[in-house]
Amino acid sequence: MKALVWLCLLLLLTTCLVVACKQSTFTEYTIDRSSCNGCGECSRVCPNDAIYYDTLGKAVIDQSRCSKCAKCVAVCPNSAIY
Amino acid sequence: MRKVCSSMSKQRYLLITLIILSCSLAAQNSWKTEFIASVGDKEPLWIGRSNLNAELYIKPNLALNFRTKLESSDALEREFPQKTWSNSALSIKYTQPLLTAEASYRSTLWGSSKALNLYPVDSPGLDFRRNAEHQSSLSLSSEFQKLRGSAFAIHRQLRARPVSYVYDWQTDTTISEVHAEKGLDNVYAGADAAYQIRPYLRAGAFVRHSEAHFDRADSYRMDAAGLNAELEHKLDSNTRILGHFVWTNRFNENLSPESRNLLQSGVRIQRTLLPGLNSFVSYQNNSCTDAGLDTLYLISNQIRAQIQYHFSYDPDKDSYLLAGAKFSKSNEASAFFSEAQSRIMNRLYARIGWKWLPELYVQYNGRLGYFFYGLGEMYLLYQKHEPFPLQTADFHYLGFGSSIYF
Ligand code: SF4
Ligand code: SF4
Repeated sequence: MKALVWLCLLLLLTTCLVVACKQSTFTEYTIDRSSCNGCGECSRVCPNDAIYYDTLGKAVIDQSRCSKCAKCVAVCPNSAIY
Repeated sequence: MRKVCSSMSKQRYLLITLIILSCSLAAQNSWKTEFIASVGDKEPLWIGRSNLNAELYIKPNLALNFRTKLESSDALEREFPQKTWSNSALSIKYTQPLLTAEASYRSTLWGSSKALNLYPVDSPGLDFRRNAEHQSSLSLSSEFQKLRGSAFAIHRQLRARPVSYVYDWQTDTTISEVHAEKGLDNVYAGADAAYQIRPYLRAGAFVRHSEAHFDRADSYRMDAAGLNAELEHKLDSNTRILGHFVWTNRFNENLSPESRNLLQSGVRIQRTLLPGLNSFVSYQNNSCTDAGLDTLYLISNQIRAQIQYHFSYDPDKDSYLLAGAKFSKSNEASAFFSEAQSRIMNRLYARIGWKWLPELYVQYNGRLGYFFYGLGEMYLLYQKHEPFPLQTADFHYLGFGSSIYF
């Protein structure tokens, strides 16, 4: 029951974030870790060598190197990049 | 060029040795090979792919994992900036009740790679031809009662040849000059501490640091610290809910002040709707704000839903239907997909799939495979790739392949 209360709080917080957010002004691509299987296709196409792999083998975008070209979005077989 | 080839071949020998070593050691291996002809807007293209996965438990608490992928084509294929690409990962994991340690090595090799402006801040007018990248990492995690601590360090070195350009006024042409190979290093490190407040709720803090070791390296240095909370709860035997909230304060000289505080939240609900029918729905949001927390800006968000059904008539669970959708309007990264595979007779299986990225392309694929149970599979495949805008020519891929399990 308490877990449900926490979930509701989290949902409320997320909803607040959505409502409070201004239009997307800062483009950043993020990898949905639960959908990534570390296949390497994104780093194969990345023109800035901005993708590395964490200790669990999941892809991570180094935001300081990413030029927001979205090429990785197109090739990801699991549609894990958003 | 000769130097590039010799460095590639040395690395290939190392790779082949690793593959043979893993094959001879591993208990459950799979090796997949594919040959594909691609017809697009240019000359037909030949593509060869090979994929090997192996896992071996040396002891119950000591596991060795190896996987390697190799893809080669006789010309540059679509958006891929190299003809040959290989990616291999080797990891060893040691688990004890209180401690888990893992060391891994990942290598990427490129053959006939295009010159790319890899470090735009660092090197205007200078491109790089990638030869190889080596990444090694070490991670340690420990759990003691309700406390959990972990730390990691990752080093990666890109071996690339810088290419500079000189404009020749007399001939009115640009001449490129390829320089000696050099190593460009990046280091990523971090530590986490967390406390299990309730059986379903954990909260913690973390620090991250990343830096690059080459000219103008400050541009690529990022420091971050943050707090996080994770929720995981089983509502009943069929439903599980997961959630997280992460606040990260990060600093990099190229980041604008408005994106300094990163707020990430996500909720995921997994449910078994019927025997064999699994589903999940998740929502993730990334937002940011300045140091004064004045205005909140959206970075990206996505809502994703997926179902998978295994047909009960196939006890091997190789007949299934999968359908999913991801809405991500903020970064134009929405995707819709479905795939179905069914046994059509004895060991013959047919698969059809469809994937639509509204801003990028639509893809259709079909596959006819014959299983040799326990040994492997042979198959024919076809894929049609229609990129947007529609005036770009479609790509057709036709090929055959095999998988061997041993
Ligand atoms: S292409 Fe997608 S699934 Fe593969 S490593 Fe990259 S993010 Fe992960
Ligand atoms: S958006 Fe472009 S530069 Fe950034 S990680 Fe993806 S492919 Fe690389």
